[in-house]
Amino acid sequence: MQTLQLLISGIAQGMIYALVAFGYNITFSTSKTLNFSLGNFLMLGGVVGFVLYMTRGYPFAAALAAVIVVGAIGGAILLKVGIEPSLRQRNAYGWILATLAVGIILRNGAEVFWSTDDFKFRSPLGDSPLRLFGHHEADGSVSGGLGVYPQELLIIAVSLAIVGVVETFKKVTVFGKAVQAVSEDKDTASLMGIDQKFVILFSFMLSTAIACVAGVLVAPITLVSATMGTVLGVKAYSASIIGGLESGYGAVVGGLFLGISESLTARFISTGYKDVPGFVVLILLLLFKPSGLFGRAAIRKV
Amino acid sequence: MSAAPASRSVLSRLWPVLLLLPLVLPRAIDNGYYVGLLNRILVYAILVASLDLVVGYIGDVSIGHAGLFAIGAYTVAVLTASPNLNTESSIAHFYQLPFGVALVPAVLLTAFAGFLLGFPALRSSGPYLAVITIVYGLIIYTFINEQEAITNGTKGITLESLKLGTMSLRGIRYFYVVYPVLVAVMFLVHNVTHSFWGRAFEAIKYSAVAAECCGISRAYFKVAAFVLSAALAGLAGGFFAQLDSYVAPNTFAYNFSVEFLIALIFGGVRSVAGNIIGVALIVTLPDLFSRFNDYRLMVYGTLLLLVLYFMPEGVVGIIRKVWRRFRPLDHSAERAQLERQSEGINVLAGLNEGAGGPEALQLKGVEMRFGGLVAVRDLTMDIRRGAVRGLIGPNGSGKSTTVNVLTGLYTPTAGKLLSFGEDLGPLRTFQRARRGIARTFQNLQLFADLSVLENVMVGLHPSFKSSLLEVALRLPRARAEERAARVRAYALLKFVGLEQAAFERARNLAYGQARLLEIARALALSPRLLLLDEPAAGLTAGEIGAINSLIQRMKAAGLSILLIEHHMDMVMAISDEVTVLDFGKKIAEGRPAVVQSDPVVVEAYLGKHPTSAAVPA
Amino acid sequence: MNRRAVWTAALLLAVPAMADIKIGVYGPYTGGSAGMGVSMRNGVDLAAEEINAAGGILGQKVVLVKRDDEAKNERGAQIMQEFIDKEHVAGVLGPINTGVADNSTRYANEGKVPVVINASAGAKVNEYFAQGGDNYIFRIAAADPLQTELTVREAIDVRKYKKPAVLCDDTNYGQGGRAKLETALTKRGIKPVYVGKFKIKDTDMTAQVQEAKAAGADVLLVWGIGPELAAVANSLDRVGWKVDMIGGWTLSMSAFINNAGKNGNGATSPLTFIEGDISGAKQKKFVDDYHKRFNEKPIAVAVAAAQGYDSIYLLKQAIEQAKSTEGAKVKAALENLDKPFVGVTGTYSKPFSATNHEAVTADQMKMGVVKDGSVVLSAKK
Repeated sequence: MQTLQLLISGIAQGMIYALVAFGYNITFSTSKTLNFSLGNFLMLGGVVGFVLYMTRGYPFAAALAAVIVVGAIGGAILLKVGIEPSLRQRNAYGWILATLAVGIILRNGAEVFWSTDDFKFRSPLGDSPLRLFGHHEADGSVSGGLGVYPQELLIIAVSLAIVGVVETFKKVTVFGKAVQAVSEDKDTASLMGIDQKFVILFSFMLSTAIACVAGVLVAPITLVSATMGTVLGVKAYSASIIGGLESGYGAVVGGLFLGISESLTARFISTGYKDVPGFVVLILLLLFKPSGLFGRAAIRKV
Repeated sequence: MSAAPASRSVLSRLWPVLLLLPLVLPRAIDNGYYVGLLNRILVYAILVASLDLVVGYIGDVSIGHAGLFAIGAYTVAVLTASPNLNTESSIAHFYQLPFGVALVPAVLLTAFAGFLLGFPALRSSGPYLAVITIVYGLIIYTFINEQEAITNGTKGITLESLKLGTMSLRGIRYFYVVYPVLVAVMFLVHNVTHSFWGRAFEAIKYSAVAAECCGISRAYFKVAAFVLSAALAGLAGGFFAQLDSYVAPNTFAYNFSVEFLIALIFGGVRSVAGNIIGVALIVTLPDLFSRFNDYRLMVYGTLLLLVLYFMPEGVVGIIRKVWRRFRPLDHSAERAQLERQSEGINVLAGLNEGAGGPEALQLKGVEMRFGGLVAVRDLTMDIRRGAVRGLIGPNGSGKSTTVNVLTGLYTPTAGKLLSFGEDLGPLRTFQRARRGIARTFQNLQLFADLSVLENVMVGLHPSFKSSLLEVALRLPRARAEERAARVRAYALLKFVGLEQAAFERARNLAYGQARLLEIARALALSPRLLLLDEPAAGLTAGEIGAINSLIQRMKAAGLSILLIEHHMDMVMAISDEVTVLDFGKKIAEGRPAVVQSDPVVVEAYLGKHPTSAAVPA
Repeated sequence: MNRRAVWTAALLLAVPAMADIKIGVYGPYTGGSAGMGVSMRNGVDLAAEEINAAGGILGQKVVLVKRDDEAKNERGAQIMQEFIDKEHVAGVLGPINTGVADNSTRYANEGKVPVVINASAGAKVNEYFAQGGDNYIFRIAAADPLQTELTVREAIDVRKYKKPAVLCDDTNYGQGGRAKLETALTKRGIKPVYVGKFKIKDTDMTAQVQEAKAAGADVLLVWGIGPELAAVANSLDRVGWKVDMIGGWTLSMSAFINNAGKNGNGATSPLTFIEGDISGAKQKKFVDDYHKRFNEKPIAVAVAAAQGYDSIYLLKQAIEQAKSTEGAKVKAALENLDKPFVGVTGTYSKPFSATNHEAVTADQMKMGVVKDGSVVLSAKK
């Protein structure tokens, strides 16, 4: 029972890592850059959602839609202002600095224009945990058993849905195939008539929009603050790498692995070291399979 | 180094200023704040220089150097801490060693940590490796935070102020302690990176495969870079511990690594002056920007983006650009000297000497299988000493694969390889290169941002015998070897006719020139066996003629050559014997004329003779 | 050292009617602990404006030199050096984080500039006496040893619990609190049945509370910061465990109250200032002015704001008593205040002496409890 409880919270946490990792993978596969500010986009989504839904009182659906739009626009700006100039100049490290800089600006912007504090985001599904397998009291309430937040179930469902939809889209539609083509070889894809710049733009907008949605999803079970994305962003790198930077479902596996291992390690070994097994596995994995669980090793013809 | 080919770096011009600085400084600054800033800049500069070795030279982004820094700082702290300043601590044992003594294990322990990091670095690259470094840093941080009995955990360790006898070494006196260390580190780093070591690092970055084929062991140099970098980071950490005489784990978190990466890129990679400038900026900017109060970081972030737009090579890049406007790069003096000194050097001398059997190359039943695909099947082929063998066949017939097997990039799934009587099997790529097997590449593998001259000098790597210590200290033997290598490289360029472009970046060469450069680089190895993989691909008639005459001259000097080509007239004219492959198998072999008229060969290239050919009008 | 003193004296003598008195204020204004830093700074700001409106200190205008340490220890050191050697401040207020304080206060001792710590409960203050040399560091906030003692007293002596579980964050503050909680428990002959920790930004403490519950704990003693403490409260609700939460002053932060919601009700901590229990004109004015000036109701971190407000008034009183901004004289004045200091956190008679620089004693403290979204005085005695 206790373990099951831990698994549930581990899975919910893990799906958030997975979503952000998925975001990393999307832009990596098309542009071969890692967006170090993605965690801050998660924060952007959480903050914008909070301001619209909690502070201003708009309906949740409207707030969510606005968050998606803001995220997409943010991604476009990031690409134009940060990434494209460095790729144009064939600067090997430029995009690292650019994404880090954008991350700093986003975080500080939230602190200045919004708040430095931490706030509660009410879940649209209610904040009380559902009790499963508890025993029923005389007055009809349930106590004991497993406590599951409805928001956690929402996180799991929505995350899987997003990954599923995007992956299917990639395989089934023509545009999706264009995305895959650009991931493989963008110059050739371009020669085949695919507008690779548009594809990369699309991938950035999609990735940041997803991160923003992740922010709104996770806000009710954590806290909304200007710094809510930093740690999540870093952990999600691990999830990405474990699954393989070019693999969509790999992100899910990586995220789940990380979330569950944290939860179980915290309980049964030590909370101080709860991140360590995840890290150790990551390093071992990369010693034997450098491109991640589901990544494909690139074979270069010499 | 590579951005300013063959010229002295900014720093090397500033040596006199740097040496005089400590004499001037105490008169100019008597303010604890500025001295504090200065000391901070010095210590951080050592860390950023260490980061540059990995990021700028080897080309691996590391966002975990805070962890290595932490090991250095904490080793010193743990070994020098005293109980009276750390009452109520959880520390189990106080060693109370002197600071100078504690620095040694600090550096060694961190170097070992760098060694451990080298292994994942060999297997991964790019963002994968970047994340490994992040994780590595986090593991070290977690350990320091949790192991209270050793590190006192989050409460940190307070150190006694540094003293020499009874004299306190804080403030301006600490400057006198750290400054010579920084100068020494910069001197060593500068020397190492402007030598064959530095070129080896960069060669690995641009093309690890080509580097190996020039006799550079990727594993050795990559791990060495991480060890050197870690050692320096540990040294910096040790001095950091005494900056404020206090260490706590939360200093060494992920954000710290990020800040130093920013400082490095901001200042300019591969430049010691850039390292210092970058550090100076990130140390002083928060204070310069304090007028912006809480907006400070947004302004900082915007500044970084602007730097990227306008100064992709960092602040040092701008300084160089401005400097060049006033003093354009003038290589004429150096060129004249190289011309003079390379006169009379015959690059082809002595290539056919050396012991070993009469067979330059023997393949016996070699098979190369990739999973279900058999690229090369049961290949038996010889090259006599001093002969030229052509290797032809339709695309995909296994020619390049054969060359890759010969150089050791692939391990054959069956068969034996011998060269001059020696079994190549147990030899790795770089070892085969050192034995005198050189190659060019079908898909150019140049070291893009090194100069043309430097590219050839990479080929001369095996000829350097100086030890790392001699290189780091710029001892006479190292200097002499470097000078001799430059001269020889220039001579090689003259041989292929590229000397005019000697100081150009390799990436700026025209295609034909690039092909010539590969040949010059291969010749630099003083090879006994030269493998040319489509050296004339994509060249104009005139350029093909040039290649042709080069090959003639090399053959005349007694070099054994394997020539893969599609230009039939060229192959047939120069080869003593020709081998034909199709679908990985040898289908014909013999003198050129014989092979040319072999119907099997014709069919392989042109297809079966149509029986009822209705030729369209 | 000598040269600096000579210069300072010369400057002071040469320009008798200097325009401003500079006071340094440092704390985290961005980043993780910014909530506390900004509230503290706001309190200082409010007070400084009042002071200047009433004629300043010794007839001179107060100019605050505000610096953001981003909760980073090295920034703290650099800022302190800037305060002392570049800005030549008369005194320093702040910081919030223990590590920042411990990395920087030594420079104040060397530079002979008084520091009035108004928030950091774990920073070294009286410990400096044992190390020799002058001690210029003072504190007008409840130090950890005091808070932990009161916390344990509430749990064990007042509420008669016997099996405490201790759960703290893994920072300097949290672990320092843990050590002192254990000391206070040991004094009563009790050993905690569970000792656990969590990291900053953790949002799920299910594992820890499960373990505590399994160990048979009957009260939860916590030491951490608002957001994470709220996560603890929520985790208690999730596993369905109703148990008292008692801990440090951070249980009064808005970040705890707002996020824990009804799960935070009943959380108790020893406080110097309770917004929901103000009495007297001075406290009322402070609270009203704060609400108006910063458009924040209730005050995000009321304890930090109130202590910040008091810290500058305290410094003012000392400077006026010393009739000088010279560090050694102000220090002497602080150690020997002729008149009681009346602040919003209480009235302090001779708060400091030559061997004690902690102003807050058990008498000044009240137990505050969270109830329906705000902090009120605890009924239990």
